[in-house]
Amino acid sequence: MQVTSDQFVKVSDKALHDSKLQASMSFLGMGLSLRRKLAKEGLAEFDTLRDEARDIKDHVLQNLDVYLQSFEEKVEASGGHVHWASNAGEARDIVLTICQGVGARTVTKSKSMVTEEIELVPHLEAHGIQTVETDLGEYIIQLRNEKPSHIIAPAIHLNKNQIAETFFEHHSKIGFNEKLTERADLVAEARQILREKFLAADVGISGANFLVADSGTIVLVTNEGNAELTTGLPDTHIVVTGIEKIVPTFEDVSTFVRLLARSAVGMEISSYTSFITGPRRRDDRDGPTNFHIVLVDNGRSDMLGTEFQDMLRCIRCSACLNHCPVYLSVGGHAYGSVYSGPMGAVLTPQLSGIDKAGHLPNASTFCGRCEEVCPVRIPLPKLMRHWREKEFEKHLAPSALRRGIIVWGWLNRFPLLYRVAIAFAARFMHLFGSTKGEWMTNLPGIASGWTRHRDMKVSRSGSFMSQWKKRT
Amino acid sequence: MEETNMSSREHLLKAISVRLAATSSPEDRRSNIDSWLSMHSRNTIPARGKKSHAELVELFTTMLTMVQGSVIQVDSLQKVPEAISDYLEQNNLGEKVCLDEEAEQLGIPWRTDSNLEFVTWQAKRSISVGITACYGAVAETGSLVVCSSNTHAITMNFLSETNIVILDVRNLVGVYEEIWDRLRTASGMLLPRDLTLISSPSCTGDIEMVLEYGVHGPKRLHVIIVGSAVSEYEPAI
Amino acid sequence: MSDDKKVALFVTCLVDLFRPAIGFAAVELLEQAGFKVDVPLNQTCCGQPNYNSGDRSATRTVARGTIDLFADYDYVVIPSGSCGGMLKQQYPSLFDADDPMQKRAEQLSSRVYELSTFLMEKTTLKIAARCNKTVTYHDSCAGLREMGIREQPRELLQQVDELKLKEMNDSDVCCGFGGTFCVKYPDISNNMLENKIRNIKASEADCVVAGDLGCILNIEGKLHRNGEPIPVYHYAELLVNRTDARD
Repeated sequence: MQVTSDQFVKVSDKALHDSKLQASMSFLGMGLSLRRKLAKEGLAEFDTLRDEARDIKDHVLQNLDVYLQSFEEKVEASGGHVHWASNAGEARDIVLTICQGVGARTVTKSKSMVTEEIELVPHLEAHGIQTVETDLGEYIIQLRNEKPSHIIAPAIHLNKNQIAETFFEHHSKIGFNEKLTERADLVAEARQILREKFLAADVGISGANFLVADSGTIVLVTNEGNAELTTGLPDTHIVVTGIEKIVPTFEDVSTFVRLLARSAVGMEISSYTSFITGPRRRDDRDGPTNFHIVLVDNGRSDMLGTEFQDMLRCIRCSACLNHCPVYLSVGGHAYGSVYSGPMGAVLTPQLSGIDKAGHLPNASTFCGRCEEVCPVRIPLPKLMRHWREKEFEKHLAPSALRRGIIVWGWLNRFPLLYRVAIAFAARFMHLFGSTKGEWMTNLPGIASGWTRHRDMKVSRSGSFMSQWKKRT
Repeated sequence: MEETNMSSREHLLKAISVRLAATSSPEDRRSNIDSWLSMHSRNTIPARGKKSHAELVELFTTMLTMVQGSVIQVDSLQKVPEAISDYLEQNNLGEKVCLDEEAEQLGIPWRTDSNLEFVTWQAKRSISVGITACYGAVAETGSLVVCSSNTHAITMNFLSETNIVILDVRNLVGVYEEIWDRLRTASGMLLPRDLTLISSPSCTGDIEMVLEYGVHGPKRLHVIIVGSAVSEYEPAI
Repeated sequence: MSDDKKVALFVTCLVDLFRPAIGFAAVELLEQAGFKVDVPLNQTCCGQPNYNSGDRSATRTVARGTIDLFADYDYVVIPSGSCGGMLKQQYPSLFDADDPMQKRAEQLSSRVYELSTFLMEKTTLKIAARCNKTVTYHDSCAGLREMGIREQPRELLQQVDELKLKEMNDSDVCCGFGGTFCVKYPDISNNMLENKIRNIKASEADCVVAGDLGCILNIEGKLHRNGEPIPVYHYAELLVNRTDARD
């Protein structure tokens, strides 16, 4: 996966000054946290379901190899084909080969973060296969040649005027000459254009929210209905998905269905939840005759048995993004990865290397809101801290800060020395306070980050310990 | 390709089993999953789905109406054509409808007792009004259960601008798990190619997070419940 | 009443250096509740800056020192949810299960209390303070989410004569401090801080109260920079009428 996470500071700086983005983000944060809260309050069993979901995923991960084989058996028994891809390149080639094998010229695609991760669409397009994103948000950013800024609302960084301009720029070339201003009209125009694409496509590509091991079923969740049109109309359906998506039974999937939409957008359930098992049956009235599933590893198995294993529980609901004050400050593009927010800060270093994505797990206050709302209780701050540990071990952390931290750690080993240092600092503040007033407004070095935006009140009384010693 | 595919498969499975070896053997894992899969044990089921059938019918209606679906209840199959005519008239949708084979076979006096005008369903065509039957419905989230089959093209549920679904009240249950049980009893969990829970008309929040209905699938979803709540219904445990 | 129990105060490095008054307020409250308070002189920082910077080995060393130093106390009380969380929740996870230190960390953990929780759960203290002001309470992240501190300080504040508590919007959203975060990513931190300030001002409270000095310094520094005459207190300061004598 190509990432530009090293540009985090530069891009986030731009984002902080982008008033349109700030408006979108503030709306997203307020709206979704409130809606999730209401949905949670509406279901007394919500937290119990979270515990159960966590346990189900843990059970699956602890038995993953056997579960994958069991899933494969069932898929093949139902007439589908299973392909295994160790990395992104293999996955892309498998999909391309299937498309070429059926002579595909156009492909419709429903939303799938794994296909973003493996950069599938550019690969198919480079081989002359027109690939159309059909999720409205994905369609918009495909027209704009952008990456998703949010894992379930990929065009959330744009307002309707920007979308209207994009539509006019592209759609006027195919006879839609009206400049639209209303959301409903934009939706209607996209509906009309994409309907033709659905009907004409040779292959439909989807992701999967869950893979049911017991029956070889894939579960797809959407609100738009684009996944059903993508998977039901063309003669070939290809599912591209991560190996961690296994869930044992329909009973277990039910638990996740109850959590997913509520966690994501505060809905009771998404509009459409499809359980697809194999290709069209002999007498079926519709459905694809070819059904392929590409199981993608791409770094996932490396997380098993490590301190990062909990991350494999993730169901991509986006609750952690929607509640993260850092994500809501800088938006998704700053992360330089298709996975943003807290889940992206843990996953991106795994997929692309901590040397390239070091900013992401560092750009967190560890406020813990992400963990608080995670439907599968992933301890995201803890996992981000583990990345900081890796970074520290490899000497990748910025040097001034690293030196400061080492000195501080060292000082703490010698209480007497520590007390002298604190007393010295307190003495300095006392002197500063007596001569220059009680507020420091321009600190040097690392501390300049503090006074760039705020003042620091000095204490003129000496340290607590020195006063306490006098008292006793 | 077969060969590289095989090697990727083994490579991948080996990578996983090496990681898991520290905590269990493959035999342990096989028996772990065999016991889990054979039990189909239910996880926590929301209390809201465990009610009398009459309350579930009400809950289903409330849930679906909350998200722009519409629901009416008629007491017999004979009343369905009239109910559809009324709905089409109220919403100014004309009289042309496309009737699904499964709905055709429900025993509704479609042709004798209505002024509806029937157009033939053709695969991969958009249609204005599609009338379909369904496998059942789940009250806890106001979800219809529709299945692909030899009498039902499931894409019809998505290609219709207005989807009218006829639901036999006896197939309305409280929670998802009851549907899975019914499938198991009826067919040994022989699943249709596509079973979809439809819980509202098609919608999107992708532009400024404001919900707009009718993006790719139906703009309108109308459910006609046939019959009255069943007194002998036993709520899920 | 409880003079048979040995109580130690863990001052925290920030309070030691930047606002000793909070430490003295904590001592005063514990003494009012009938405890004799000990403040071991050899205490240091809890190690959180190292821990959150990925320096696990130095953190372990600091933790060992703290675990040793506080081994003989019945209660270790901390006027900070963040440092409290470090001792109570994080220390036990620093050591492997077979390390004897792990067990000792667990033992310490069971005796560690954040000040407001201690006052509510382990004492029958009635607050004797007066403050004719409207205050708004900021929930510090670690206190709220690691230590479950939400109602305790609010209930204590409600006991202050004439004090009116007025909730701000998003009181539980981070102020942008985050330890080294605020100097590593000053502009993002500032964006979060500005949201906090906006909510504080919209509450129309006379002053802000919080339970962690990191947040207090952050919010107070921004209010001062913006020329807002809204003081920021630790709740302990309000509970002992120390709103004037700040240092």
